[in-house]
Amino acid sequence: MAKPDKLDSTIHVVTPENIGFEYRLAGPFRRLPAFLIDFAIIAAINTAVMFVIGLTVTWVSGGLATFTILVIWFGVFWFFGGMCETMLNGQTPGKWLLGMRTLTYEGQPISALQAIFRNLMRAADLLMPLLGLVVMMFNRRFQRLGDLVSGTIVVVEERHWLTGVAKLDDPRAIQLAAFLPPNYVVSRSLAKALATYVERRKFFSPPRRKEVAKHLAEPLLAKFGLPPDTSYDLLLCSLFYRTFIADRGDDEMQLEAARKQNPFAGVQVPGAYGQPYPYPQPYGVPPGYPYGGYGQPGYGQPIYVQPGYGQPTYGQPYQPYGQFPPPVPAPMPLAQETMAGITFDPPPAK
Amino acid sequence: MELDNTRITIRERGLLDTMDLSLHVLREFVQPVFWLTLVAAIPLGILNHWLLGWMVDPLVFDYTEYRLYEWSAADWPKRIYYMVPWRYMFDMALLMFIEAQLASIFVTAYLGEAVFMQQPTLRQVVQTVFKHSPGLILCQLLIRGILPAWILVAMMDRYGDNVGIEVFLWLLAAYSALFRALRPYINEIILLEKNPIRARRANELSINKRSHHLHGSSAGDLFGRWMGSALMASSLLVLIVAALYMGVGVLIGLYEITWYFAVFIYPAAFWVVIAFYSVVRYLDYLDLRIRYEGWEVELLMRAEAAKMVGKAW
Repeated sequence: MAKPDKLDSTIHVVTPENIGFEYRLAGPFRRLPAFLIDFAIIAAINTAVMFVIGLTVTWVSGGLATFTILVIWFGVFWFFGGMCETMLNGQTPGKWLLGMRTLTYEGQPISALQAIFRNLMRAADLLMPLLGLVVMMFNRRFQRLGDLVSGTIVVVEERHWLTGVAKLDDPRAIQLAAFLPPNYVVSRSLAKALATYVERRKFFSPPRRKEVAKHLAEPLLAKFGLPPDTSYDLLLCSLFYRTFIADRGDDEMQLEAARKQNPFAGVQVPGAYGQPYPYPQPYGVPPGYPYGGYGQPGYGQPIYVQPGYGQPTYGQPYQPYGQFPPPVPAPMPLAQETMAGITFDPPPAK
Repeated sequence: MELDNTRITIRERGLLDTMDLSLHVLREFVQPVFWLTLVAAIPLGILNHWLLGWMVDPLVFDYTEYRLYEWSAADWPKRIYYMVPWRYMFDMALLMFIEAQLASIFVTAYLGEAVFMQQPTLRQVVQTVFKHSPGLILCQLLIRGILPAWILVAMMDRYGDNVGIEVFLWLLAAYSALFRALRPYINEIILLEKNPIRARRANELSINKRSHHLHGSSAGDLFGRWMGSALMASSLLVLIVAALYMGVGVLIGLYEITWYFAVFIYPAAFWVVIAFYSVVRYLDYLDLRIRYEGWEVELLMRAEAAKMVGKAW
C-alpha cells in the first residue's frame, strides 16, 4: 500500500528550469494579519484623501470634491493590492511585514495581470468569507478564489539557519569517543538521529537530556560494553563526534595516505598534482610559496610544518575505513584513568 | 507502532501555522472528526437543550410578540422577559464554552493514534476514552467546573430573571477559561500520555505532576497562544453563525431567530468551532512538546532504539 504523504503546509515547486524548491504555504490564518495590515493602510489612505481633498478641492466645487474622493477611493480599494504586488514583486506592505510573497504555481514572479486579477477577486472571498475559508481548506495549496482564478500561491519567505555540524562544547564527549568500538558502523538513520539530538540538546534541561537520550543510549551501552552508569547524553555526543567530526578527520588522513601512494607522485609533470610549478610565477611569488596542487598549502599561504608531527610518512599502506587506531585520549579530568567506575555524569549535588 | 513514521511532519510551528495545518488535518480526517464530534455533541446537545431549551420553548415564548424593532427605548428594562432568545444564546454560549474541552476528548484520542499512521475504529476510540474516564471525570467535570455549571443551569427558575445564576455562570466560565489558558492540554495528558490520577511508583508521574511539568515552564507562552486562539475562535464562530443566519435567510426568506435556529443551527456553529479547535489544540500540544521537550528527538531516539533491539514499540 502506498504510504500517504506527510501532512504539512509545504509545497514542492519545480521551476521551468527544472529546479526544485520547497516553499511553506501561507494559509488563511497566516494571511489574515497581512490582510488586516493592508486594510488598515487602505483605510488610512482613503481617510487622508478625504481630508486633503475636503480641505482643498471643496473650495472650488463640492461636487468635484465628492467625485474626486469617490474615484480615488474606488481606485485605492480595488487596485492598491494589485499595484503593490506588481511593483513589489508579489508583496503588499502587509505581506512584506509578515514575510510572505505571491508566486505563480511554478514559483515564478507574478505578472501585473495576475496581481490585479487576484486582488479584484478578493471581493468574492470577502462577500462569502466562510465559503472562502472552505475553498482554502479543500485546496492543497491554500488558494483562495482569486488565487485559483489567476493561478497563484502565497508562500512564506523564511530564513533558514544553516547551522552545519553542531558544535560539541563538552570535552568529555571527545574523550569518551576514544572508548567507542572503532569498527562500529553508524547507519544513516542513526546518524540523522544523533545529529538531531546534538543540535537540539542545548535547549533541554539536563534531566530532560537524560530522559531523551536514555532510549537510545541504553542499548548502545550494552552493545559497546560500557559501564551502565555512563552518561547517556555524553555517550550520544561522543558517538556524534565519532560519526561527524573524528571520522571526517580519518577520511582526510586516508585521502592523504592514498595521495602519498599515488604512482604518478614521482613523475615530473610541470604543474601536475603535488609538483611545484617550475615556471616563473606571476605576481612575484617567493620560492617558499608553492603554487597549485590539491592538498598543498594554498596560493599565498606560507608552508607550515607542524613541529610535533615529524617527517611526513610517505608510502603508508591504505587503511580501510574505521581501522585507524583511536586517538590517544587526553588525561581524564577525574581521578580515575580507566573506564572502570568512571561516571561522566556531573557529581550529585550535596 | 512506528514512532518515527508520523502522518504529520514533526517540526516547530507558530500558532497561525498550526491553525493552517489544522485545515489540512481536518480535510484529511474529516470523516472520523465529524463522527467523533457527533459522539460527544449528541449527548451534550441533548443535555444542554434539557437545561436551557425551555427558554425558547414555543409554549413559553411567543415568537409573534418578539419584534425587537418594534420596541421603544423605554421598553427595554420592562421587557426583559422578551430578551429570552438573547439570554438563551448567551447562556448557551457560556455553557458550551465550559463544555468545549470535554467535547473534544474523542477527537483527541483519535488523533493521538492517527498521527502514528494507526487507523483506530470508532469503537476503539470510545473504549480508550472510557478506559480513562476516572481522570476525565475528575479533571474535566469536577475541577474545570462542568458539573457545577450543569447544576447551576438546572437551578434556573423558569419564571424568574435568574440574573444571580447567570452571574455565577459567567464567573465559572472565567474560572474555566483561566484553567484552559494555563493548563490547556489536560485531555492529551490523560488520554495520550496515560498518566494515572495518583502515582503508585516513585518514578511515575501523576496527572497533576505531569500537567505541572508540561505547562509550568511555558505559562506565558500558553497564555499568549490562548488569547490568540480565543480571538480567532470568536471570529470564526461569529463568521459561521452569520453565514448560517444569512444562508437560512436566503433559502427560506426568514431573517429572524426562530426556534429551529436557536435549538439546532446556533449550537451546530459551536460544535463546528469546537471540532476545529480540537485539532488545533492537539497540534499545539505536539508543538509545545517539540519546542520544550524535544518530542521529535525523543521519537527518533525511541525509533532507533527499537530498530537496534529488533522490536517495535
